[in-house]
Amino acid sequence: MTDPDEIPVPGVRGLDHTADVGLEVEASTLPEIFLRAASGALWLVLERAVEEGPGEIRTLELAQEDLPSLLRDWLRALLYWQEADGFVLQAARLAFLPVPSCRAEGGQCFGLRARVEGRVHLGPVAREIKGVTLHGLSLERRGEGWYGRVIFDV
Amino acid sequence: MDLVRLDPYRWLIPRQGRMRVDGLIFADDTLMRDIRADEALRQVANVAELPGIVGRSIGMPDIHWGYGFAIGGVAAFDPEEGGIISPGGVGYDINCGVRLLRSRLTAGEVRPRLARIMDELYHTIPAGVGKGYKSFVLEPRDIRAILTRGAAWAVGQGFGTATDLEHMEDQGTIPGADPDQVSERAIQRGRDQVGTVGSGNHFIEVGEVEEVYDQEAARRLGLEMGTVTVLIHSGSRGLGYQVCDDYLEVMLRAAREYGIHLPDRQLACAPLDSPEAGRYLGAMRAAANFAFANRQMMGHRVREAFEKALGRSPGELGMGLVYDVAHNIAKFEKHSVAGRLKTLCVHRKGATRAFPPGHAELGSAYRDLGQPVFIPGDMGRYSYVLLGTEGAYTETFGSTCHGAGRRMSRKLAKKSSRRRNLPAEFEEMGIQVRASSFATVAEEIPEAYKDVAEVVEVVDRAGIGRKVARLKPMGVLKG
Repeated sequence: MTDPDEIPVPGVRGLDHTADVGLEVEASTLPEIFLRAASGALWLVLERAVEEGPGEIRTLELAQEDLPSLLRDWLRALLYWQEADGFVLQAARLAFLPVPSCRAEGGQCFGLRARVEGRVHLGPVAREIKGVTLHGLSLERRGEGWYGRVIFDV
Repeated sequence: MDLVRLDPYRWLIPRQGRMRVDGLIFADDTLMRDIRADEALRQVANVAELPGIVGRSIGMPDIHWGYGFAIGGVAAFDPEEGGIISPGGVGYDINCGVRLLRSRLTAGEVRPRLARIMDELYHTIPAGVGKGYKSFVLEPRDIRAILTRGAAWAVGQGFGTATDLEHMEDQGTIPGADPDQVSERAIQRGRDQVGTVGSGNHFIEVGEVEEVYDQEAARRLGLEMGTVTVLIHSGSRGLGYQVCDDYLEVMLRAAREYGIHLPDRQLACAPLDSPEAGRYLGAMRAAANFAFANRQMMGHRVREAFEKALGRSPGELGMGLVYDVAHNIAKFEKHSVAGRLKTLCVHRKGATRAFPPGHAELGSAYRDLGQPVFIPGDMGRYSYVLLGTEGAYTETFGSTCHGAGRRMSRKLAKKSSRRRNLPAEFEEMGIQVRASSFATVAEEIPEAYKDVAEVVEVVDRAGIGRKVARLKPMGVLKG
């Protein structure tokens, strides 16, 4: 029997944090960990799968100085879309690109170009996420795959 | 982490590693057991590493693991010693705070009509995730006026009276707010949220004065035994969250530019004399003013709900504002450091200002009494009214605790609520709960929190707050 408090997204586990909520995410590829983290974060907000509502496609371009920050920006963007007009990610095609004109030490940035398919869901929301924190934020290679950790202020 | 017990209520984290000052935690044995169970002590030590910190990095008895700063943390930074400001030391919910209304009504006369009052509150004041007004959406120019004028804007629009302003921290308006430093996205997020509760641990609670510890002080605050009170806990809503989020990016870059070592990236900060700090201060004060206006509007709507539900005039209800306090904020204040009076930037994240009698920054209503402080407990037990003390002024930069402090994660709380009939449990306790979703209530069950009586006892015995009265909940509106 599954635990109803678990997050039903493969590779995503809820973290026990005293005041806030967090996610640990594992995946075999970088696009997959971004998608799983996004689905996990949106599950925390909605606590349901969104299967109805008008479909929509949106695009997003992001650049950051490191991969954990890029993951954070990706989640911030998706959570903002959800809050602002109920747009919930269903699937996405992600392309990771080096961005040369970056202020990061060493001069290289990590770019993300995303084509996001989603639905507009204006129904009830289970939880408000105030922010995607930098506390304990990580995204790193582990063995053959990737591991990420994000804590949200709720 | 080394920890040295100084007396029954004080624990020292001696300066070690990169710490610039010691850490000081207020707790008894029971509370310290909970505090040690998570990362809060590490976070107090991390704050002690930041440039320009003076005195000690302080943890209140309700301290618990936050992000960057612990929740229940106080730290003061000296601009003349390279001191910094950190959005993480204020939190996402800028000027989250509490206001208390008193009344002439007795619990006995209100109880038979409590359901009607709670229904009225539920239908009048939006509460819950992202909940805002459908018919009260402000134009960006109005939001900018709120960011500058705070609660005075609300009073100017007819939401309350000028007397309310005399009973608020900073009279409900923090000077130096700069709306131009607040992003368009933040302003958009705030347009329908002035006068709304929000979700999580925010609430409106109808209660009664069930115990008075200091008769004279309680009389001055208008808190007579058995009379009805209303506590309002909320902050700057989406607008404040967005300000914090926007400036974390700015501060990360600034920390690198100014060569500041960050033990935790959420402690991202900039020197107080830098342009980045100036911009954040302008935006943070603006968001703080939004929060004051938010609570002012809710206070007004609470009065209206009581008038409607009870069919009584404002004069008969006597619902005056006792006070309104911030517990997530950074402010410039004068404090003594090594015998010298200095202007410091005091960060209070989950801590309440608690100025003593005679402090020049207190309004005329309470200058001789000391600042009223409100410490909400969990939904099922009690909350406290305290006064600021000289002890707090000298030892904790004029600060005290802010609440019960969580002891259980939300996940655990939810798990332990499963298969329970929470509405019936609260009914049994004599508490009427109205909520947009009982999922939030499940995360906020009483046992998820420390016993606020223990927290307040430590504060009182350590001399960083003085007990005046205890309030018992009768009805709670949750998001």
